[in-house]
Amino acid sequence: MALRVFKSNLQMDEKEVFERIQKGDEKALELIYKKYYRMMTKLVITNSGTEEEARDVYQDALVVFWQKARSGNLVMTAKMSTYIYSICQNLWRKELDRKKRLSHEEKDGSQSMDLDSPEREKIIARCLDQLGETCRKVLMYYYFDEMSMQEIAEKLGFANTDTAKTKKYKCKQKLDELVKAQYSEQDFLD
Amino acid sequence: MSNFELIDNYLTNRLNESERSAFEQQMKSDPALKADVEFQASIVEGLKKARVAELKAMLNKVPVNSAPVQFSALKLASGLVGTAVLVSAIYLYFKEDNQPEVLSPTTPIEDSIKQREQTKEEVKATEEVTNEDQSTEVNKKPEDKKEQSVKPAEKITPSKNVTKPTLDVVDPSEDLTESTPTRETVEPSKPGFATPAMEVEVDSASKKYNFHYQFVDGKMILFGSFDKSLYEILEINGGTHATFLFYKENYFTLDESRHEITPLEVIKDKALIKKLKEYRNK
Repeated sequence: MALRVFKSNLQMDEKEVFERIQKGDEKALELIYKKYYRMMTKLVITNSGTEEEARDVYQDALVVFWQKARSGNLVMTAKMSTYIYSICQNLWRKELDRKKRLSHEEKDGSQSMDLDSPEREKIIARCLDQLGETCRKVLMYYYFDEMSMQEIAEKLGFANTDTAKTKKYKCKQKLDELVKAQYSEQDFLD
Repeated sequence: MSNFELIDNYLTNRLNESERSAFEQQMKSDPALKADVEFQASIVEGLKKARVAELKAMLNKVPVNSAPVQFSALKLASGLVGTAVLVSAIYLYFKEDNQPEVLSPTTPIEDSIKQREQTKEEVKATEEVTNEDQSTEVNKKPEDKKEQSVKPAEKITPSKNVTKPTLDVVDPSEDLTESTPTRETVEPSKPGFATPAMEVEVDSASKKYNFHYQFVDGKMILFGSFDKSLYEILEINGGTHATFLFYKENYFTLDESRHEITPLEVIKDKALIKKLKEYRNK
């Protein structure tokens, strides 16, 4: 009977942690990461993956989970671990497929790697670094975490949603400019 | 809505269905707008990637478990990979569809570490008592101990959380050898592995039971900090059915008739250990 007690307590913790994640509490994500680290990495390691790959897959899975939870579209019908585990499975399956394809392509001698997009990502990452912390946060929260202006204002301590909105607008304009400048520079070099 | 806002809302899925299709129509007739959306899309994509990288960097800084334990467990795990038989033979905690049935600490995650520390101390306290038990046990069943050197307790159990064997040792080699007259004549090939249908749960919260097991309704519950290290359940189906636990380089007897909570007992019979090793490495 004692077991049942543990279980209900666990669900309470789960609920609390999940709600914290929904609210964008990164500490809660760290907790989850720690808690299920061995459990999740084992999945990859026992399926012909290295420790490094396992960690990478697990981290990617948590980021997916984070984004889904943050967007508010995720209703937890099972345990978080069950959900994260299935993301890990999918990601690892995809990665194994990719590896298989890659080894086939090498044999065929046909390379179809898109080198363009990682290069662009690097440029954008560089430009983001030039923006400063608040701008970075506003943009990431808006575009990745898909937070509302209300949430962004609360999280970053802006006076109201209008401030958040203006901030987002200005930061984005600035980023666009920086990226455009980089792009044309790149074109010029090419 | 300004174009800037429209593009933003379009790219972040913040438009409703009709707004969306209207915008897509507009893009079709306006190549400049389309080009702008594409440019913006690449920036948003880059932003997302940067955020992913940031989150991953954050997670990378989180210390996970204690390094040595983790290392040995992972090393063990990677050593196991590759032997196809092993994969089907050993019930590694995860099953494809039956997901992590981990019963976890009653306390919030942050507190569980404290709790574990407490448990360790409790175990230490019982250590002396159980050492005595061990020596009485040797006197009691001398015929079983002939071929084994009684190692110091520390060596047998590297884990701090391990409870030392107590008086009532079940000799599992009986189960393995039942069909054959003597232990020596058991052919290693005879017992075969089956994919175990056993369900396993881990309860790491109990202070009282920190290295115990129990069978309930065909399901096994392990008590103790089994979430810290890799463990395997070995099911051997020969003439008879026997189940063993492999944990931190030690083998333990699992008696499926034990419906009450039973302490895990390390197997000390060298011949049996050798056999189990062979099965594990098959």
